[in-house]
Amino acid sequence: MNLETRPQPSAPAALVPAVADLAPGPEPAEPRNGAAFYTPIWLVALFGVALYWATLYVDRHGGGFNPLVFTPGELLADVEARVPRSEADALLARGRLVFNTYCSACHQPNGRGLPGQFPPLAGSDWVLTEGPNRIIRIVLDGLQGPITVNGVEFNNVMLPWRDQLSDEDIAAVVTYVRGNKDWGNNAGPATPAQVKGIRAATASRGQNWTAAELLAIPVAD
Amino acid sequence: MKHGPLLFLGVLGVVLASWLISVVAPHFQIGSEEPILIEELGIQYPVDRSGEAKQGAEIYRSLGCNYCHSRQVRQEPLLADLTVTDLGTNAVEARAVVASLRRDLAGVDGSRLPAELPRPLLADVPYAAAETALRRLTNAGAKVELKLANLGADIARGWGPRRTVARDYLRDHPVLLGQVRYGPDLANLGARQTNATRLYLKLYNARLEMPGSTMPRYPFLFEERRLRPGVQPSPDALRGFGFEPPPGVEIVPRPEARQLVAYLLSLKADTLFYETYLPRPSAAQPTAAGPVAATATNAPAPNAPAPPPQP
Amino acid sequence: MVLVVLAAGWLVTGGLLAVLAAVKLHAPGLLAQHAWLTYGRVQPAAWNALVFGFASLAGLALALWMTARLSGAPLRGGGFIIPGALVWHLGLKLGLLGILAGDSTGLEGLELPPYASPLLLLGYLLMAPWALLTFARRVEPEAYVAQWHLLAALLVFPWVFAAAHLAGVFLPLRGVLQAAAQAWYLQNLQLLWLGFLGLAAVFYFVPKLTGVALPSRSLARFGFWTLLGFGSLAGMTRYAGGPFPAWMTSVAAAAGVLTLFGVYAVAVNVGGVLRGQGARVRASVVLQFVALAWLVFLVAGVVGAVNSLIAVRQWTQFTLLTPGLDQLTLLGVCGPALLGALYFMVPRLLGRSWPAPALARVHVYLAAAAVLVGGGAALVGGLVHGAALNDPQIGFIQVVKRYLPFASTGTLAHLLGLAGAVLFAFNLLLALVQCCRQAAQPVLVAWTTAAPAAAPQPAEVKP
Repeated sequence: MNLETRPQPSAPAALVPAVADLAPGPEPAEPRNGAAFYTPIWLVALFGVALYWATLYVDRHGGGFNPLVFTPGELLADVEARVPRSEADALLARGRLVFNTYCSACHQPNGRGLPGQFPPLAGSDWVLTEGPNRIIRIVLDGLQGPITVNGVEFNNVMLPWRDQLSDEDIAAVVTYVRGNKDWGNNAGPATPAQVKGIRAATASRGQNWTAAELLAIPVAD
Repeated sequence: MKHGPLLFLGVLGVVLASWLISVVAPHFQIGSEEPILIEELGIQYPVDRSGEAKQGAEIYRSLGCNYCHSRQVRQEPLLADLTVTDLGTNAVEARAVVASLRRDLAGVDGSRLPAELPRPLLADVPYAAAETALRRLTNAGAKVELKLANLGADIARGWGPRRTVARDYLRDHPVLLGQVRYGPDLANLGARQTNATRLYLKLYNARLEMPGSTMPRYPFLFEERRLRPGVQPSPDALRGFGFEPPPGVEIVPRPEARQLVAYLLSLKADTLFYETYLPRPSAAQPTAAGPVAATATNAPAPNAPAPPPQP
Repeated sequence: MVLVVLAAGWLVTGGLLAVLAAVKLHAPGLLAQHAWLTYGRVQPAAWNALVFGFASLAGLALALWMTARLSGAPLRGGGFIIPGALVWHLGLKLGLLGILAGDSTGLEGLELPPYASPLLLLGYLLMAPWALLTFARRVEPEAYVAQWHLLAALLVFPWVFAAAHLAGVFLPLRGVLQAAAQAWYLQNLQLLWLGFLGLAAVFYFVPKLTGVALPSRSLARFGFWTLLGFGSLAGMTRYAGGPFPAWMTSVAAAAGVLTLFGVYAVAVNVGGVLRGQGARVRASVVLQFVALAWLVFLVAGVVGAVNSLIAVRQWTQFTLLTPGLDQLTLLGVCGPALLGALYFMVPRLLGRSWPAPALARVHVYLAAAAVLVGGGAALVGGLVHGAALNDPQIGFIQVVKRYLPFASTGTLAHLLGLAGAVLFAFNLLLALVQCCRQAAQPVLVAWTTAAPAAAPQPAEVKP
């Protein structure tokens, strides 16, 4: 590289042949970094402002970094608010699933049971009690022997679900059964905490309930 | 920059960081998503495609359909208009709620509210706020109508009842979202166009039905068979919808065309689940999920979008 | 030299395919009976030919040549570079045939079939490390601005290429994450590979040919890191409003806007050199090409940054502007910059001047016209297309009628580009034939050491 051939910046254009770059031969020197070391301070300040703006922008449009928010500018609250009310109650939705899986074979999907075999849940005086104390016990440990439901006597065996269903599942299915408006039921929910408490209290039981035993238990705490 | 290693590590570090942010972080968020159980329909959504439709997906990819058709429906942040239709029996309490919602209207006691409430009471408010107001007013006994103010052009065009979300694409491989709309969006083609013959005709020559369309012809997906006396014409030959094959021949879709159409008919992103609910009765756009969000409004406001201009 | 010849050949091939694709967009009946030539196959084939055939090969040629010169050290590994180029060439040829036959992976930008992309990577690994090794042995301790961009591009490419192909094709991620990887890849490929190759040429030739040093090294450094850092993140703006968690697109949008600082730094630094150099620019074809690339980089940078805002994106997404901006980076920034570099390099490698310098001058005007027409059509057409798409009252066939004129104008741009490419290829061919004759070597492979560069480049002349 020939430093001597470096043309002066002020060299008149006429001295540069039009095809100079298109032919081999003398060429300008390799460029080097200039000594100038200068970044305008306003640019740095503006950069800081822009970074701040960027955080605001992401905050406004980012949906709180939640993977369930897809529309820029929305928040999880907006997504949640649109979930239909009946579905919003997670216990209800889960309860329907549990009921359809484990209970509907006997009690029937419409909750009416089968006359003479399985008692109804829809409109049942055992279900629509003030509190869920007794029905939770039935689900946990099953039921055996004669029982009168809405004035009709049944005599069959219900299996215990203590080992198959979690506290949440039992609370969900009890909530679903007690509050199922399609069946005309409108009783209050059960909570996983209630189920947990009863499960612990009856841990040593190991046998099915009978109607007489249950009637001795208060309907609500 | 005298230090080569610094440059080297800096560049690699920057690109690694952007890879972590752009791909790895989302992977940890949604990379393990599974199809979701939709109880009302008894399906796992997204539904697995039939074998023929899966082969059709390969045809879709190999012909590069995604270079002209996107497969994503957009939606803006939802805004709602809230209108009080009836103050109900407990007008005093309802008025108090109205007054607290619109402080510009009257004092907190609500007694000085104008007799005629503005319609809508709240215009273009974020959906969550509208929903809270709705709940408070309903609790006070008033009847309220909630209407969505903006669903966006994609939905208004009838390209889908809702936006598309990550879960819609769990059964797609590769995921072809498309970047350009030289042609209409296909995310919900199977929901708005259920007639296979019309899709065949589109593929055979889109300008038969839609003069001026820029869609290429795909004659190689069809077989031109000469009609011979004594030989039964194929039951699959294209006919109807004003289509006249050239005299003496019939146009029969090849297996590739069948697979592609099976795939196109399987394109549906209209099932509703957690991320995708819209506070809108399903009447306007029939959706597979049945009763959608009718419970969100006690006086459902049909917010029918303009009918789809054309499939 | 092999690289240059191959690049020129691919430029013409890619240009032809691009014209074909552009024509098919508004004349759908053309050549419809051939599955090989349907739009959905020709379009990706054209893009891949231009990116991997022309831009990448020419960029690698520039990288090897420039590193050798600026480092003041001889280029090492010459024996690997030509086989590397041939492997790359073979892989690309296989890949393009695969795409035309329908084996494309379908992901825009990652179309090369799985049997072709590893070949490209192998070819790259045979070629590029020599530039890095040469750089490591440089005599001159201070790395020049152009070298930063070049090295960044060389480092980024294999990593981005391999990671995206892994995530999208070989070990595909679940669901939409494939598209996220693809958007990340396209952004990095365009800005950090194609864009930085172009910027390397700009930062090299502008100061060199004008003889004026860059006004501020620190500003250049600031611009380099902001472009690198924020540009690398901005890919997801492509899918704003798509089926991705909202934070992904909003982070990308914010990063996209912040790239404006990098664009500004490039504008000020190069603009400071070019100020008052009108006469010199008019006299030099190379400078004209490079200045064109610089101007287009600024325009594309500003449009891209504005376009990444979600509010703007809602308007312009899915319109002509999206592919338009991609093509502007490829054919407006990288293309002219590398062509300018080739016009400078080839005579020095062959040791003879261009046989038809007038053609080179015509080529500049053709390239400028192509960029102007194509970019203008994409910008205006994108806005018109978007306005129509976002008005549900306008039926879709009306939308088609509105964007169609702009799509036809795009064809004109591609035709102009193709004409320029043909001139370049003709000129190159002429130069090679002359060179062959003069050397009077009947052999197929001629090694010349005529290059005046510090490092002699092997040159192979194909019959």
